[in-house]
Amino acid sequence: MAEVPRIVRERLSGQAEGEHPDANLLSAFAEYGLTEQERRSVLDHLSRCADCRQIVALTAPEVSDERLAAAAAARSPAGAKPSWWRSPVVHWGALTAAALVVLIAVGERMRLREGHSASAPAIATVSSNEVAQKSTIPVPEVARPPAEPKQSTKKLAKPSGTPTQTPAVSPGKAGGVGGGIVGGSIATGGTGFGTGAAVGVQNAPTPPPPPAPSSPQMKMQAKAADAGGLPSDTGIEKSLHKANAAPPAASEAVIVTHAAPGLKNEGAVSSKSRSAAMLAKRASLTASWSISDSGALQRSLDGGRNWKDVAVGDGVTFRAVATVGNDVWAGGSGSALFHSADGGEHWSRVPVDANGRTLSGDVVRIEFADAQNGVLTGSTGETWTTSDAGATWRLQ
Amino acid sequence: MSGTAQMPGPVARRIRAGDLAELYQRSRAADVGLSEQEFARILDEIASRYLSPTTTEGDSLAFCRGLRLEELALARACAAGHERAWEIFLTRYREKLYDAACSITREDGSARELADSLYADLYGTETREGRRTCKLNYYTGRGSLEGWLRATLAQEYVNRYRRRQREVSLEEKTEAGAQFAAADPPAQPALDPRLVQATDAVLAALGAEERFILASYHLDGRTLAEIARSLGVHESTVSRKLEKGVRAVRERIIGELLRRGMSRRQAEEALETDVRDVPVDVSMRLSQKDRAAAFYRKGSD
Repeated sequence: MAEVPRIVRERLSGQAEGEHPDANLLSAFAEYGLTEQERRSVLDHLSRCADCRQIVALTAPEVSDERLAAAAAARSPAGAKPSWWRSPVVHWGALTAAALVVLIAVGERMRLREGHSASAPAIATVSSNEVAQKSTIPVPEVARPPAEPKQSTKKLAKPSGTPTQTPAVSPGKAGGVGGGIVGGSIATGGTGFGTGAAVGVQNAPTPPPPPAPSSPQMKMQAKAADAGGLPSDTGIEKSLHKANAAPPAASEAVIVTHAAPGLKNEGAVSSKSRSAAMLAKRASLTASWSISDSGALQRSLDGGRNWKDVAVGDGVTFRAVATVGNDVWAGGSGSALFHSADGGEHWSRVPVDANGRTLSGDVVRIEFADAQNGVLTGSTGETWTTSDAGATWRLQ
Repeated sequence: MSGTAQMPGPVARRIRAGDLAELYQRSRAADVGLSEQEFARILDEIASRYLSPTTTEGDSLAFCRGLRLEELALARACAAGHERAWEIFLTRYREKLYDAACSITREDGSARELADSLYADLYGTETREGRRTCKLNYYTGRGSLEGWLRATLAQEYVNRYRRRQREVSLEEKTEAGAQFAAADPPAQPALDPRLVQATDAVLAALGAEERFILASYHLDGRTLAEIARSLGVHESTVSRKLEKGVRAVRERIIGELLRRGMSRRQAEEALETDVRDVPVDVSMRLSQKDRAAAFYRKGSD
């Protein structure tokens, strides 16, 4: 590292004049919990005050690289204002275009096939069921018309399909809030695909509200980014992947959608009535989890259209939620961690302690690789792991 | 609580009663013995401190929601002397207080002393104007209570260190004046005032973050990782900014010196070679060690 001239070191070492920030501001600075304006002001003082710099250095908790990355993301211009290519219009546009291409290809293939079978009926007869099955294979689930392979492209391409059509790619609140609150998926707007995939779940403390969010959705996203989210620029891919995946192998930290095992392979549905029944069943069994702006745990059974607060842990402000199959984990203020083994019907509080030490601060991140193995992070930077589904915990 | 009741203070009074009740519930203040009125007063005190009177209802509410309400209620309930709150506080934070003190002082004895001293302040053993002063009253919920405790410990530690330094230097002064008069420091060659002015101008124009990084690394001796942690950025970002900052400062000072009438070569020399670093002892150079040689006369030998 290049040395600075002696004169620079000397002139740099002058002490700041005026009042020093108090312990509240210094600790909030160390925990990345100030508003941007406050942060600038404190940083300006720190840059001139060796004593306060030392206090901040002594105050700073041990944090992981991920948390630093999250804090950086929260303050980056991209974190505050989504770039154009992350806009929902672009997302939906790209998705629609892809769906159109696939559908045209499928339609063309079917037309050729029908023409072929009409010209040579003796060779083979393709059942409508088979056609449907084949036609659905390459179509992304978000735009796939269940059991209606000949539906018009216009209708098929419409991105805001019913939740039953797109159960795993929760539009609107599901995407935006989920991506924002913990996972930090950015710029999904009102109809985006935010996924809180485990990559970006962070534990930065109380977030500084970003400057004047333009909409409630953006506000929540920005807040979430401040709360430690890492931007996920692969939201669509992950959503699609998730949509096609059977019970998730790893927990999703924010907005998690899980389908009932019995529904995961319903690719070929021949009749409209059967399709409707299946879709209704799917809707009833598909649960999305999220955390509201005020820290309430919420569940949606209709793919994110309607959200209802789930009464868990009276007074707890939730900050992280994760699911693995039917297991749902939710954590928040006051070291609160709750677990449901039946998809959110019944809950129990899980103590996180070991050797006389208990988890401190808020639970800001939960991540389960499978039903047994999980990691949770507290707002003070503590990381606890379990390998027995939360029965015992170890402080890392 | 009725739907029309409002918070009493000037700033937070815009928060509706329903929202206040929600905040009160979230804080679990009732569990530690605080009434809703007391809680409202605390919120108002904090809002008055950080928000301007023109802050809108939405912003006031968002601010209050962003506070560590549960920890705030606990701290203030402790300050108010509620037994239950103290039980919870001791369970949650007593050991952490000692751990934090240990990590600050790196020495067990001093850590105990430091933590005990803070603990006494937290408990409020001092009285002012007949009232017990409890340091927990100063916690505002902006950061975590644990972080605030660490910052308070660190402040106390730095203050002690400064006090000790002052005491030692006074003793030395007395001692020096009485018996061992200290030798005058060797006269420093004067710096070119243009260099000082140019440096000051450049440093004043630096951004806060740039200056923080420069000062932390070059003055405080912090590592890149420590600076990155303070700023919430990656270490490589700090490294890049530091390199860039040093280069920019150097270039800008040279630019300022050029504007002040120096040639580029003079400016670079002035910056690179501090005259105070040049080991030239003028008196020694001028002294005449060899009298004969000094008064050498041609043909005397």
